[in-house]
Amino acid sequence: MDAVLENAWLIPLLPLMTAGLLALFGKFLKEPLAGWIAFLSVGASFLLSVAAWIGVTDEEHETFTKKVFDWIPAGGFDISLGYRVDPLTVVMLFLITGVGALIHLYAIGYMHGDPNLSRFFFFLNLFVGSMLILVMANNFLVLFIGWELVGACSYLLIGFWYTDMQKSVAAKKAFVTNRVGDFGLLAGMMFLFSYFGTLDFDTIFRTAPSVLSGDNAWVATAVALLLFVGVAGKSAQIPLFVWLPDAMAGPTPVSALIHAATMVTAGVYLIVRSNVLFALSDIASIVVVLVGIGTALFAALIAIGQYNIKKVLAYSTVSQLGYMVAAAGIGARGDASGYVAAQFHVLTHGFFKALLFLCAGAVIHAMHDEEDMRKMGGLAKKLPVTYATYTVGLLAISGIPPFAGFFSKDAILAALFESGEWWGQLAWAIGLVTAFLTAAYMFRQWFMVFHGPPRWDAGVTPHEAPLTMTAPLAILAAFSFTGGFALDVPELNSLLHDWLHPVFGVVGGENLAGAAVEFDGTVMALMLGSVVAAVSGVGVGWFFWHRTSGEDRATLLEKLGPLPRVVREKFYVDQTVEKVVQKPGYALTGVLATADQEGIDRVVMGLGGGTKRVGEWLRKGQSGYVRAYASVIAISVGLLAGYAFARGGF
Amino acid sequence: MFDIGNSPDYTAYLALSVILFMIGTMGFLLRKNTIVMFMCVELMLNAVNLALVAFGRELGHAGGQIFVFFVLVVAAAEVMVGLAILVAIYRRRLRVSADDLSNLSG
Repeated sequence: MDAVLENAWLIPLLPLMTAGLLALFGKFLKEPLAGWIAFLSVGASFLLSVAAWIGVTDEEHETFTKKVFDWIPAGGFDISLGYRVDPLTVVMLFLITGVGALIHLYAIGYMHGDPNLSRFFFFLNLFVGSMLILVMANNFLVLFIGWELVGACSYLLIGFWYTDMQKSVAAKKAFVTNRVGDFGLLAGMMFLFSYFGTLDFDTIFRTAPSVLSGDNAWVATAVALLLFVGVAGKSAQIPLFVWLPDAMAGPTPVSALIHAATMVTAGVYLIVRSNVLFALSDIASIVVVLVGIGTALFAALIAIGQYNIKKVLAYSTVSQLGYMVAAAGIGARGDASGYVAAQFHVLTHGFFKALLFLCAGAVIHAMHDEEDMRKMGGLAKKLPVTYATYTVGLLAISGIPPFAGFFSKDAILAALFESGEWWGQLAWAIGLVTAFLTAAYMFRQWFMVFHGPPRWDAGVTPHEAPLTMTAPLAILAAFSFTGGFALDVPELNSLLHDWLHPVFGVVGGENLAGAAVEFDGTVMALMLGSVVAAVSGVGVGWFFWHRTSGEDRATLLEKLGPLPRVVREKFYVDQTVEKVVQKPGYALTGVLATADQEGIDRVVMGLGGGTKRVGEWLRKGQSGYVRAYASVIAISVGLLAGYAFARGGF
Repeated sequence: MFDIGNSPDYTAYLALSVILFMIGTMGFLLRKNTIVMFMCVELMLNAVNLALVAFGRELGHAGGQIFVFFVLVVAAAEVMVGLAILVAIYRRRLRVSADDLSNLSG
């Protein structure tokens, strides 16, 4: 299978070339042709990913890297454009191309009738291609290209309906927030380059334990924390998560793509990929775990108070990403199970979150672009396929066994608990509370949308979506059901552990020797704990948002004091950001603008004006009379000659 | 190389050259008719030519004479272009007074 890996560069290139095709000839590619071409290119990438998977298997889990060409050979700064296929990359490839292809298929139905369809698929393909560059990079700079392209694409797609002011603002917010994170990543890369003289993954990860030891130990912490700033930007962690909930302003397939298959998984991928660097710093591990689990809890609390169907899902994404980041953070301390758990949750979350978003899209589609859950209800009978698949996704995200989310979330909680660190176990406790909240807010949404009396606006007649939309739902539902026990179950099944093991074997030492989790009393108790948390969450969701009537709910909420209001207002995060960042930012801009106009501009304009005035004065000498000029010449020559005579020669 | 026995002293040639040059200069400065001014320029050129030939002969060096050929050729070309411009100006304005042609004043 060498030939496949030798040509693995085709995997990102296919969607990118199709994107180019759609960009150049989009005008002539009418609906639905543009969509099908885009879908087929991502589908072809998926098939190539399968081939690459077989290729990596054949070479006994070896890492395949290939240099395509020297990109920047400048003195000691040599950057080659190359790619890397290893077990971790393959997992990401499956997620991106697999879920990405299904989302493309869904978008063909969802975007039906949009006048800018080919532009939409151009961006969508570019997005997938950029993400593939990111996960296939063999050095930090190529990864950074993908990283930036993904950010740019998210901007383009969130603001796809750019005539709506609110949507363009959301796009800008996503872009600017991501820039903050990108700065961290860039600074981390500079640190790495100054200590390693290269940005190549292999070299850095192989030599990191020796280079970053002794006096340089602080560098590992600095690099890990800077990289984590980048992670926080892309994977929406505190305090940079504010862009993700607004990102749902884009078309629903875009939300699904951003929240499930691409973009947000990039941050988790970066931690798992740089596991060697994070393993070298205790402080970084603590920060990553606590920020991650804090984000999980915080976003889950906000999600409970939201009424927009997509906002609930958006905050649940932030919350689930918190889980993944926490797991990736604990990975370096436990037995690498944390990394596996993080990657596991990336996969299963990719399935069920894509499913949930696409279901939400189908609901919005059916309700004539209504996104307020207070105007839904009773849709179960009208949208049977959406209802059934949504329920699968719901059970998966709530962590009900044997659905996919249960196993991955349980793996994360187990990794946190078994790390043996106090902060790990603190994170475990918070994670358990979050699991409870997750089940509660998801069932709240389920009841509000599909059950109870219809609260539709007049004239709304819900109808099931077309086959191009329901088929991806069914496939994703199947994955959301099987994705858990098929990949990794303590004791019984260690597929993902075995598969990802070589990725974490680089450092050596028993800390990072991956192995399947043993099924003992602790694991059993932990599983029981998360099931209890999930089920009680379901109970609360059922009791509070289904059994209790509207008035009783209102009185109950009143007893809670100002808390419900604070939750509904998202803990005033946006308002705080506005006050702390935006206002001073505007003020600073004002000062700088004044300095520019009154200071720099004055100097520049003054130089120009001075030159002009000197010119005005000098031009008076130019009379236009030839004889006047000739007189000047003659007199000058005479004077010069006289001077020469007087001196007796020149 | 040259027989200079019967010829006048070369200072006489130089004196003539200076006189011609001064006539040319004054004519150029004082007359308004561009054709006359043009002729004055030619006069100045030829005054210089005379000086060059005189020096060449006095110093026994062919450089002076050869340089004169260059001046003649360039002057011929210049006359062509200059007269053509004058004709064009005359066709437009029916006058050739230099002081009328002051459109390029600053």
